[in-house]
Amino acid sequence: MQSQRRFFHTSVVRLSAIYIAVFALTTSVLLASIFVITRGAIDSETDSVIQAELQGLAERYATLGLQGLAEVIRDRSQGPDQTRSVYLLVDRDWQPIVGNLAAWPASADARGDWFEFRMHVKTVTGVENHPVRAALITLPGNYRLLVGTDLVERARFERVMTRVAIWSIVLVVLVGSIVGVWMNRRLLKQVHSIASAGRDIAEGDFERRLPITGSGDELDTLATDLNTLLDRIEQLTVALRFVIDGTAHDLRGPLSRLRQRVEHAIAESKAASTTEIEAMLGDVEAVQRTLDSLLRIAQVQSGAPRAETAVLSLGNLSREMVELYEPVAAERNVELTLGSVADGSIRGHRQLLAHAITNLIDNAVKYSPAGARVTVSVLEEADAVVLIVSDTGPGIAAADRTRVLERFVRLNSARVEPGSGLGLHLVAAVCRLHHASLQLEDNQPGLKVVIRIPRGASAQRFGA
Amino acid sequence: MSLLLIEDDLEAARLLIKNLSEQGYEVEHAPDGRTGLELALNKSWDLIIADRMLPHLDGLAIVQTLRAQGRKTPILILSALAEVDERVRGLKAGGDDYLTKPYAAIELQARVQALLRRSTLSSETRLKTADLEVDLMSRTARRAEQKLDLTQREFDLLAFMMQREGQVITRKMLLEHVWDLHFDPQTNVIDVHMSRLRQAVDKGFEPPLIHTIRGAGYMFGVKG
Repeated sequence: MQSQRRFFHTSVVRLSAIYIAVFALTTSVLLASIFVITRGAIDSETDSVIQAELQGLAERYATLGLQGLAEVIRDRSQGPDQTRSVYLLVDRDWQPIVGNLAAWPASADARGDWFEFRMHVKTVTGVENHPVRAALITLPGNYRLLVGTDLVERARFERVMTRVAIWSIVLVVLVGSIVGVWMNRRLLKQVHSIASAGRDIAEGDFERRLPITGSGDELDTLATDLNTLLDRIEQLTVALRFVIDGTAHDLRGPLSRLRQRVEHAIAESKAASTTEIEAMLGDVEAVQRTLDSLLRIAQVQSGAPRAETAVLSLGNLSREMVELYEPVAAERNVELTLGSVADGSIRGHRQLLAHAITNLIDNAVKYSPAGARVTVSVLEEADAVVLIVSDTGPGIAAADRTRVLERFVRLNSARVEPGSGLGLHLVAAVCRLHHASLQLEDNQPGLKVVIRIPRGASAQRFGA
Repeated sequence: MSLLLIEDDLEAARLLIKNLSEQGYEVEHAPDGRTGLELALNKSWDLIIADRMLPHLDGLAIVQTLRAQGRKTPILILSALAEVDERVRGLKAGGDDYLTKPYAAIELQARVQALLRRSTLSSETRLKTADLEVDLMSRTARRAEQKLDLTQREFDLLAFMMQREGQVITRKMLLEHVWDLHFDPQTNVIDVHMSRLRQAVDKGFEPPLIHTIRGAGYMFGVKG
């Protein structure tokens, strides 16, 4: 059902449909022109034959009189051309004198104009109703002469033309559809294999490349170009990871020594200078903490940690983190409680999820005034587990909510509090790793952070 | 106590050796992986401290080789690697503890002490210090015959400290072992838990059993 819908939504199907329509239209126009032109030629030939005969017969009447005319008509209407030509001579009371038509046709009252009517013709298969095109002249003495042509050939031609037109269009549509569907299938197969490879690469399988069929068509060219692009991205990712690890190693080394030196200095010096040196140690710790946060965010964003994942209960983890923070909140006169907590079983990275939850609780407790309430809930939805951390603090203005997630951005009103502003950013990175959505909502009053972790995607993410 | 330090950062090694010597340990130093492994295999050590990234032979490879040879010497891995899962890899390879650089000197001392005394860790299920009695099976604690009202986590905390009586226990160690958290929360959550535990265990009793070690963490026991 879904694949059927996808099939009819592809651009190939739309293109095939347009092509088929254009071809069918062109074919129709072409056939219609042939039809109109051919019919016009037949009609004008028919008319000139009738005209010539009428003229000839009128001259016969003038020279040979009524008797002579009747003989000629009798001859002609019994001749070999009998099926094609129709003659009738009537007197002033419309009584037939001679001719191969049984009675004067009702529609032939027109004043010497052209007209068409139908007549019964005996053939080998029976009586047929044939169309006739005819003209008449009035001869001196009020005799009227009708000369016409049986149009059955023209009608047959029309029927053949119509059939040809219908079959041509049917053929165009049929062949077009079959070829279109076949091309579509082939193309879709290729597109799907490229898409699925693309998804795997996005999931972190950076060494995978798009499949190349070797046919050298446009899709192959596209895949080749994209593979070149992916090579470049991989180089950059490797370079980035190298920089991350390098930074970690090169900064932590000197920082480590600095720290040990400061500690030594504290241990060996006298009381007077220790306060200054202790302050230095505090700075070292702050630098270290920021570095750790930055590196951790960078790693999580580059999708590095895939190994340490397991099926865990987000409900239990949240409960533990609330229990961990409850005394801290109580000291600040903030009531930290659990809302409704479901089991919330997902596949995820325990340490990173715990870090994200503590960051959220930490922020909520830190930025809420005394007497506020912070609630942590875990809900289960059909295909996702939802973690909600809400507080009754000052909240965040709607305009600032996205900005808050960005690195280093701190709201003015919160600047008095310690913290490097990286907390929420790590939360966002952890969410991305778990394919979770992160929303900041109005708790009326306060802030409500909603994290929705899809069950299937997170399982897929970690290759379960 | 003889310690082997395998560390390629010579300045860091110098400071570390100085620090550990002051604590009364005998420390031998290997500046690269190959020398380190040779020394580790040829002599008997009480503890090996190995850096994660070393020239010639990686720290993890040393740990794996030693374990493959059946050596049970406790190993502390030091690492400047940023990877979140690096710690798990280190412990899976056979390391006993893992410390990320930069670390506080006291943190390293506490870890070294804990690893050296690990073999003496009491396997008894009933612990007793002064008039405090803890039963690990029934998960109950009594002081001066009075039952103490502790939460699950407070009991875990108390049991962890009692088993390491007289040792310096850092906040990081408590976070790792009691809460299974391997990152630093932005706020110092441990101190608040500890002050609650102290309320329950020490308030109204003598002598005090939970002591704060400035700049380091805590220690359990009768001070004297």
